[in-house]
Amino acid sequence: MATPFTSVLKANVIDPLEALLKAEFKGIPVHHDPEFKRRGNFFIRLIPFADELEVQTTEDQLRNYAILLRMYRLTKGRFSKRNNFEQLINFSDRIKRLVNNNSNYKPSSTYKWNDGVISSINYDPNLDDEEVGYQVADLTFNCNVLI
Amino acid sequence: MISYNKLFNKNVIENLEILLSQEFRNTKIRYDDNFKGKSFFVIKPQRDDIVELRTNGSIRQYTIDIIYYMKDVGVYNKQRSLDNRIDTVERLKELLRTNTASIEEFLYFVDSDGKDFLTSDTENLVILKRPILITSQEQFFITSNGRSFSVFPPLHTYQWHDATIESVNYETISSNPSYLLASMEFKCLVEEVYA
Repeated sequence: MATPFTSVLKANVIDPLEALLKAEFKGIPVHHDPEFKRRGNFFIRLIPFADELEVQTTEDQLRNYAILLRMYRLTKGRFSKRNNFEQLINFSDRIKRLVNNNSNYKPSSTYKWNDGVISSINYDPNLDDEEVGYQVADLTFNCNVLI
Repeated sequence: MISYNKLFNKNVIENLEILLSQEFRNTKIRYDDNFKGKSFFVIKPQRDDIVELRTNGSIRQYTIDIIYYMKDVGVYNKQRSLDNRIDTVERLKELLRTNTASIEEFLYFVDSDGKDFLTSDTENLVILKRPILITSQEQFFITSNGRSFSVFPPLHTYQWHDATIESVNYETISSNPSYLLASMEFKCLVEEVYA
């Protein structure tokens, strides 16, 4: 008989994070492609990349999850105007505040995570050949989940 | 939509751009890889990292690459290929050393019609004879409509602290062979208190 379990990463982290983003940024496409695919002019990829044990007790675990939010913005031509940078940076600042406002996240009193934070943002990540032409920012989201 | 502060753009990039453009008046600031002109700075935002997380705020470190490009053709002797870059970099380092904490003081005036204006250079303005005002550097402001002014206490705005040029690289290889470059890593801390 298979062991009953809950997909914590999906139920507590990825799905609520996606819902949070979609509620704040109406209509923003959020994708989960493991490999890059062109998804339009502006979209986010959610890429889970770490799940680490913080505290182990006899009954519980506290685990730290890390999700990469890779944000894409298609820019045509040269980045000759500052406005090209401004939008992506302001968008990142808005996500930072959104996560900070929900650092202990309990929608409808249902616990999802605590200590949620955008710990770092990289505005100059390495790009695959297919990604060239997009402005890309990598936002690292971290949170703890008590299981 | 939540309310948020555009910290990277407003506190860091705009402030850095103001400092650069005030100090290096003939050197343009660019945000792309388009090579134009005798010399120019390129500003490339790099990173935004959490340093301290608080219950009602945070301190974050912002990192920007500042690249100074200088056109050089002909013989690369020491003076032409190196000295100008060194002078520019040293001047910029000193500029940021004196602005390691950027707390700007604005003087605030309101005229008799309730319209207000600010000065951003921390100079004192003295009302000589209404409506003529003179700054501490003897610059005159003259209004043509005879309005009187009320002077308010100065406002202070915080931009960043611990700003520094962390490293400088006098690179020997440029993506455009006509230009020499020096790249600098600028870092600063910004404290944010959530409203």
